[in-house]
Amino acid sequence: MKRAAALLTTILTLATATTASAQVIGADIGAASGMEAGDDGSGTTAFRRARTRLRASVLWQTEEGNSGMSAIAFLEVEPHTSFGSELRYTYAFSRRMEAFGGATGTFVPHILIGGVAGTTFLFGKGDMRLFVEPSISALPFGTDLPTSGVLMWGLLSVGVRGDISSLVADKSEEK
Amino acid sequence: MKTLRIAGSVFALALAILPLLSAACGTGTSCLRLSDCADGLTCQAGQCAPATPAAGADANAEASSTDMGDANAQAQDSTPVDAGSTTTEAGEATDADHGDADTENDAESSTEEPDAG
Repeated sequence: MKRAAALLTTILTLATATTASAQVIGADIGAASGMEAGDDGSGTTAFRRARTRLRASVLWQTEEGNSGMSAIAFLEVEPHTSFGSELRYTYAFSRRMEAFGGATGTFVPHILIGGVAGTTFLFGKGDMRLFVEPSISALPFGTDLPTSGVLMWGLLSVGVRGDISSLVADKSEEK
Repeated sequence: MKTLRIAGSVFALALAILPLLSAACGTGTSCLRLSDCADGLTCQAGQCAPATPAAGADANAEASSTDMGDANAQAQDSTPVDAGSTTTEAGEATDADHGDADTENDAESSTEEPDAG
């Protein structure tokens, strides 16, 4: 639990530092599901369908360039309910593709903390675009784990993103 | 903006309805996280089980020691005293069998000894 608390403190400090000079450039809503794997206590890795979740996020630019941060709140709704959030560093390769890495976890009803990495693909033109986002998460800390093993999520998110601005520098040319 | 409004409406609707479909699992259902199990249960070896190990062990022992047809009736009617007496009877019977066998062996050996001598 000490390591989890230290990780949480680091995340909050990072979030405070990055939001100090933040400029919100987009937001999205979507849904996600996929596979979940972990040690169920029998000594073997068990696989099953991950919980379906609804998510909403805010993306902001922290400095000049193609990078930014995003904060996501998600609600796992089926077959069990829990609430969690993510904090990500995002790098845009183009207006249609971004990569991200950061911290993720659930906080209610139990704590679960780990890391997440993935890629976002954006489709469509204009300020409202569809996104498809495969990601993988590893969650080694928390009170929601029945053993000391690592819980893995492989998720596919889909949704709609609204852009106020864009992370890519040449946005005026692409628009 | 119309797309955003529709997406927002669908999102809010899902947010309201989907939690109603979720339910905590009872004893014996599979789990990977503690929150997969209902309150008072814990995740043990991939199955939701009672949090108290002693209670879970007793329940498993009773279930495995009874026949399938009588399982429900004995689970309601049986008491620790009955279970103990049943075990004692079985033990006595086993001891008695062994005792008989030993007696027979002793008798045989005792009858063989004079012949050998």
